Amino acid sequence: MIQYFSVMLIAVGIYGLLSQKNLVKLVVSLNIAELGVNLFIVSLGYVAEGKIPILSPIVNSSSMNFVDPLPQALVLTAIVIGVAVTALALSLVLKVKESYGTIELDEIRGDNS
Amino acid sequence: MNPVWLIALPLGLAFLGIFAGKFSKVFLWISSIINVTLSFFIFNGNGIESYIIGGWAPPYGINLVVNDITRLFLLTINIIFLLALMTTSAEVIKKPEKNSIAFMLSLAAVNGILLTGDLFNLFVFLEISAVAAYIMASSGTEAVSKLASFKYLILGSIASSFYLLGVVVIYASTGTLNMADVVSKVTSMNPDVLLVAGLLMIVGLGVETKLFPFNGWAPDVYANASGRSSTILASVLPIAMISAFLRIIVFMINSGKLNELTIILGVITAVVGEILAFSQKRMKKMLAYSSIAQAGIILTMIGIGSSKSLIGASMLVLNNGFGKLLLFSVASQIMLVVGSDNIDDISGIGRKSPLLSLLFGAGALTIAGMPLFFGFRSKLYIISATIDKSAWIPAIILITAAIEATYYFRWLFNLVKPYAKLSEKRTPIPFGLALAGLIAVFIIIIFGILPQSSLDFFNKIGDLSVQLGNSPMGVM
Repeated sequence: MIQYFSVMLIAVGIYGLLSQKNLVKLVVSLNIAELGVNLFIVSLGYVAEGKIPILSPIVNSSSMNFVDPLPQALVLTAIVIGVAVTALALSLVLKVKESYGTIELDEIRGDNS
Repeated sequence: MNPVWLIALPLGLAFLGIFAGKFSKVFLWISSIINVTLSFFIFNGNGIESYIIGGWAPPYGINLVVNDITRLFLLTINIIFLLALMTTSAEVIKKPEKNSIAFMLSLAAVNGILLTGDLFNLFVFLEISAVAAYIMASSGTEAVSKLASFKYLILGSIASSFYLLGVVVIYASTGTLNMADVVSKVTSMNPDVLLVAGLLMIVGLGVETKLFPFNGWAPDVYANASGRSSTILASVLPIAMISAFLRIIVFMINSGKLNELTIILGVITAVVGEILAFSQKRMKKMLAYSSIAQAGIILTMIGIGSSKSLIGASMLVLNNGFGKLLLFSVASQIMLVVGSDNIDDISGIGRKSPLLSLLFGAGALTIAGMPLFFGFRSKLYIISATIDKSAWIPAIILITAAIEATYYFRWLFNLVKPYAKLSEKRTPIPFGLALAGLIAVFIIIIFGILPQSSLDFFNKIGDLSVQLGNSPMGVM
């Protein structure tokens, strides 16, 4: 079920990328799409009634009913990369604002012609 | 010789470079020179080697794989990177650039892309190289470069997300991220799921390799970035990205339908790229579209996937790397002298510095595939590799080659026209460009005239592809 939700989020993000003209809104759409991807990955590791994948006093038997920890590790890395890319994108938006005086794509194109 | 140093050294020096201020430039040269030396040592090995990183044995841990394709590409990528630094050193002295850290990051990332044997690790390296490429793309003096870089960032990030989705779909159905392990399990996967994963990955890698519907970013980025950045973006990065495409789509997934799709998209890329390149008025734009077209031909060869076509593809990748190194460094030198690369503004520049036109001529002729140059051998190989598969692919390749030769000759003749707008009598050519350019020309001609038997490493690539067709890729 949650997989459908995350695919919807990706679709919303891509729709935003195609329809928006504001550079900051484009960055937000990008983040929404990335969020969808991350949710999808986390949902793959889900196990109903699953236990934490660490041997501890509470979970001391090595039954097979563990949550898959690898997708969570992947998502952690993907989130960090996403933050870095967002920071870079916003700094580029700042640079565009400095040189064009606007962050609306259609106004920038209007200036060129 | 553990190849991890190829990645760790530039990455570590990039980190130190943040605190070193002006000395980060020195770090860039150190890391590049050491990487060339190390890759010579790695080139001398043979067979398939696997290096465990982090103490966990594959398929659970990450490993680096060195095979014959990797050896050749590693050596050329590091040499081209060093030559690109040399050819554009004059520009950096004239207008101080603060991008040394981005160049070091990209050097580490391209080595990582070539070496890694793990799907998620490849994603991380793709992202590092992409972030470095965004910074490089925004390095131009004009405001357009910032906007071009922003577009590239949006497209590139979405592409990486798609690639990650593909990786996760494969992980969910095979339970592993190690490429060699995936190859052994991929046949038992549901073919429809495999197709979805492969399509997601083609989109993801297609943006970076400039495959047709996803390559809208390339012309603006290549045309507006600073000289050193555009040289590295156009000559070093494509080799790494094509290698990633080859390993993921052809060696790992190896689905017939996706290979057909790659062939069709590659042919469209080549034709569209050549036609658009023909009508360009700016030199760097023309070179950018020509890069797109070359990438299209290379991807077509990769899609065909026979041993001969892979030899042709790897020859063409290297030829494109050296050729674009020469062309883009000449273009950035012209930008530096004239301040524009418009076809009318630069006519006759070649008369004022003959060496410049020699370098441009060598680059143009090898990309266009004239005899005596490496490009001729690679195009010949490509046509003989495709002619027994179907008649229309070699026909299209010949037509695109004809268009390519036409516009490259037009630019070359324009460069040596007897009258020029520029009033100075002579424009001296910087020492770095002359030396590195002549080395590149020498390499191109040596590869062009040596007998086939002495180019043993290309034949090894063919053998490797046959071997990979029979058994799972590499070792874990």
